[in-house]
Order: sequence, then structure tokens, then C-alpha cells
Amino acid sequence: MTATHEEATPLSRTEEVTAAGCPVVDFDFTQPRPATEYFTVLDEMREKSPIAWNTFGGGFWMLNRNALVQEAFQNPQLFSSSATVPTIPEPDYHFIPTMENPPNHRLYRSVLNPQFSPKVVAGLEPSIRRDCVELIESLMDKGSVDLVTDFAMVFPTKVFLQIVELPTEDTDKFVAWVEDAFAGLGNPEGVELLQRAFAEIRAYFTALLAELGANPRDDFFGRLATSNIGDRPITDEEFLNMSLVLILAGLDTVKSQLGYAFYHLATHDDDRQRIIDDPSIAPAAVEELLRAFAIVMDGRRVEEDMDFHGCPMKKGDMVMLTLAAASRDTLEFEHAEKVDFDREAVTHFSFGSGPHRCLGSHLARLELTVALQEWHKRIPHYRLDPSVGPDEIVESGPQLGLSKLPLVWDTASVVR
Amino acid sequence: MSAVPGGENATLRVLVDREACVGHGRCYSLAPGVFAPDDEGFVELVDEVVPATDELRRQARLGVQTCPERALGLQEG
Repeated sequence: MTATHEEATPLSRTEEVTAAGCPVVDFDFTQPRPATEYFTVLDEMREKSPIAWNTFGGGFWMLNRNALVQEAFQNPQLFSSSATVPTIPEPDYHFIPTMENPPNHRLYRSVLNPQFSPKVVAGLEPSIRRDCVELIESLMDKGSVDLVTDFAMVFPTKVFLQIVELPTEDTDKFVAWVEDAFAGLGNPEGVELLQRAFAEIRAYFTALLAELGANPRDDFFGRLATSNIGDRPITDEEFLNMSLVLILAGLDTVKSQLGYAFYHLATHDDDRQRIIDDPSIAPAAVEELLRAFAIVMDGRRVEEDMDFHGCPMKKGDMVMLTLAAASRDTLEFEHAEKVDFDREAVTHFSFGSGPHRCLGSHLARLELTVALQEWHKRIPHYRLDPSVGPDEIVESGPQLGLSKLPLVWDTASVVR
Repeated sequence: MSAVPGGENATLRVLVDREACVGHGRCYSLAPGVFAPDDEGFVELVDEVVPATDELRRQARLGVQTCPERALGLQEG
């Protein structure tokens, strides 16, 4: 936004929106709330306000219904990815391919898609299962864990390092970088941590790029380093940028999704029992848990002045695509706000939609499925640690995730 | 597998909007008898015309219904 636009923003914009008959809300997504409360709050907002102008931050629109979110995702010429955090309309960073738009976006995806294709991912299943089992076996005699830090963060990181053929000894290093980066996302106090993590990730991949130059390899990063973007070779800057994005997009998301899945299963014995009794329902359970807990508060930037379903949007406005609200839309689903493993046709926005559909979606689905199956084979019965108060487990946006998930079980009940 | 009662003579064709497909992969995961992934994960059809069996027709409908982009359609007759 320009300076003049900024000065004119707070009051007049709200008045203008109100005059057009559009709801105005004050929704602060950065405040920690008890586990799953944001989903309930956004359910309520969706029913009252399909579209709302949120005065929080610099002000931004919120699209809360399924059909509206889909429309925005499918029209990148109106809702661009040049800015994707609702409170940051003019980012001083540019992530590839996340913040690219058509037609360039497609050039980058053509390079990445084959490496994360369903066929490639299916071939990785044995090694993913092995990593998962090894980790669960190292935990099962403890009788208590913080599922988030001890399992949900470590498992996807190990899998990632295996797939891209980087040393698994680097797991702890990657875990710490991702933790620090997300501590700084949407939180001014964490900016220093974020910047340090970014710098260290960049240094790691700069060294890797030099190594690949000296000794070319036919592995994930070897292929990326020698790939073509359209009709020209990838630049060093693009390689470093995309490497950072892969790490940021692929690790914390699976961690958060696992957190919600296990939170639900720890507090819903019937659903847990179904996975114990029949592990083959895990893919359907995963799909439904992805629908019920869409963690990303995505953003797009408006590219031209327009009337969008009666609301006056202006070029440069930010829009939050409220994936949590839209995936639990009562206009789309029966008892939309409940987890129901028996739904036949589940659609949701946990992997977004439109051209930016999550690159890692096939891998993420497999990781989540394997985690539910292998965990419940070995540790079928567990519960929230009763010594931890319900308000101690919190979540906040713009990427929802549980701060911790302390689980306990009777070690005599584990299955060897 | 038996033919679909009442509709066994009608051919069922799957229509694909290749511009709209972004590779969610719901169709080929849930209906692998009708849909398949290409090397990037975009949709391919196993057969242009869905073989007239209950199971494959059920899969075709499920695949079309679960496409998040509404990139798939059915044409009967």
C-alpha cells in the first residue's frame, strides 16, 4: 500500500465497508487461545459473516465460506500470491514458488511436482514407515511424551532428510531452525530468531550448493541445482530460496496437523478405537481430520478495485482465506463442525486449492496415515496428561498449532 | 461385476478440464479404476469411456464428486 492509502485507512475504510453493508470484525489471530478454540470462534464468524472486514493489523478482508475461498483460490489474477500473510501487504521477502503468480509459477512447479508426485511418494512408503516405527519404539516405554516436540516435529523432519538424502544427523538442527522460524512468524518478538534461522538455513544450503557443484549428485538437491526454469538454468538465488521454502512449508505443517489429530484422538475414545480396530480406515480418518483442522490462515492480495459479493475491495487490500472456517462450512457438509470418519466425499482446504495446491500434499497424507497406523498398533490407549490444565495447551495463528500435547499411557498396555 | 440396471446401454464418459486440474489427486486415490496420475500428479483417465460395471461407474461418480477444483464431469449417452 502507498503511504497515502495507509494514512486514510483505519476509520474511513471501516465506514466505507459498513456503508456497503459488509460486516466489520476485530479478530486478533495472534492471541493464544485454548486448544481448538480458534476453530469454534471461526465457525461462529462464518455463520454470521461470510465476508468480513477485519480491523486488526492494517485491516484486511476475511473470506469465511467455502465457495468464496474457492473463488479466490481459482482467480489468481484478482487474488494474487504476491503477498500471502494477511497482515503483510508489502512483504520485503519473496518465496518461490509460494509467492509466484501464473504463468511463471507453473515453471517452478514443473520442476518440483515430479519430485513430490504420488508415484514417487508411494515408493517412499517403506522408508517412511521404518522411520515412524523406530521413533515410536523409542518412545513407547516412557509412558508419557509431549507429542508435539517428541514425535510430531521429529518424524516429518527425519522423513524429509531421508527423502532428500541429507544426513539424518542434521535432524536436530532442522528442528531448531523450523521452531525458531515459526516463533517469529506474525510475532514481532520472534523476529530475531526468525532472521537467524533463515541465515543459518541459507548458509547450510550455500555450502550444499558448492558441494554439489564440485561433486554433482543425482539426488533431490542435485537435481534441483541442475534444473531448468523454463528455458534457462536455475540461478543460485532461486535454489537457495526454494530450499528454504521446502523446509518451512513441509515440516511445521505436518507437525501441527499431527498435534490436532492426536489431540482429537486422545479426547475421543470412539474415534481412536476405530483406528485401533481397523488401521485401513486411517486414510479416511486423515482426510476428515485435515478437513476439521485446517491450520493455515492463508492470504492473497487484491489486484484490482472490485465489488466482490457486495463488498468494496481495493487494489492492494489483503484478504485472509479463512481455511478453517471454509473447510467446516455448514453449507457444504452435514454436521460440518463434527469429526466424522464416515463421510464419503471429503473436500477441504488444508492443502489450499487452485494453482498453489500444496506441493507436499501427497507426502503429507502418507506421513499422517502412517503415523496414525503405526502409533495405534503400538500405543493404542493414551490420554491427555491429567496434571496439565486444559488452558495450558494453546494455539495461535496465522498458522494454528498446539503449543504442546502432553500425553500419558500405561506402559503395560503397549503392544510389542 | 454386473451392469448398471437401467443404464447399462448408456455410455459414461469422463470429461476433464485440464486447465482446472491442479493435481490434488483425490480422484485417482479414491477411484483408481477410472483415474490415474501422470508424472507430475495431474489426472489421466484409465479409459476414455468408463467400462459399464457397477464398481467403475461408482468410482467415476465418486472421483468427479470429490474433485476440489470441479475439474471433472460426466457425460452420459
